[in-house]
Amino acid sequence: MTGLSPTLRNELLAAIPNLRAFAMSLCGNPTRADDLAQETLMKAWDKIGSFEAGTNLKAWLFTILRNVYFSELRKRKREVDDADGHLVAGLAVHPEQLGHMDAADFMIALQQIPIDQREALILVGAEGFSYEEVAAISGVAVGTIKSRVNRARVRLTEILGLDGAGDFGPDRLSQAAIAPGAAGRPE
Amino acid sequence: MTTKSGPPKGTDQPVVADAGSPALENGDSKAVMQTDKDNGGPERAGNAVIGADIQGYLGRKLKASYDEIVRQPVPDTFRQLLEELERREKKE
Repeated sequence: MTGLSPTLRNELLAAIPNLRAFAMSLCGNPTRADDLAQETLMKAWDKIGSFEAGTNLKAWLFTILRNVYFSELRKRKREVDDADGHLVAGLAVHPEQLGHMDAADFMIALQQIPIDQREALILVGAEGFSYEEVAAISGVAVGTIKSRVNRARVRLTEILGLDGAGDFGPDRLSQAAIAPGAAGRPE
Repeated sequence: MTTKSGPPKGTDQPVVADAGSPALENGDSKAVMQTDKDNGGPERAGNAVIGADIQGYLGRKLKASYDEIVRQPVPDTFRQLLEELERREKKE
């Protein structure tokens, strides 16, 4: 067992609030989020020898956390669906709430988008990782992350009713697209 | 499944009818790429476009909500866990 250098230990401590927030955004359940963050710390502690000094410790920790979460998700798919279902039941966010929508409301809306899109959006939009870093964390191609982030934004826009109830929503988009001549429109 | 979706020339045939087919993914029709109607589930929203103002709003909201959680005090159980890990390490 290699001991933790004081610097590394401090960095680890400093990352805890972010690990909790990431876990909370992923699973939407505070208790479970803290369990996830703690399990991540235990795993990180055990494998700290495999961390390359000088590389991004936060990215390394986030990778561990998301891997723990996704393997749990696979194992307990049904339980998880139930838990998330309870959380969001009856809590749909309506456009008129937007003026005073708080963090909790937004997190609830976030829980309604697919998990892979949610993960990508949080890592890019909230944590400020680059697309390349997120691709490495999630183990997929950069292009996949870009498209997940874009889809996440579109879904959130719909869930939050930000598309002006049809002003430029899907209906008008498709109308425009099927209009004669649309097929020949230059990019 | 192979779908041939040539661009309908000057007809009002709804090209979105086969939206969600692989034709959307392989880029053989740029016009179809723009027709993304999100009735077919989350996987289908990839090509839709949202305005810069909405994107900015979402970004700020996401960051603010996330940062609110980051700023929460860390429960004492985390300190206990780290102490336990350190104790364990010293014994080894």
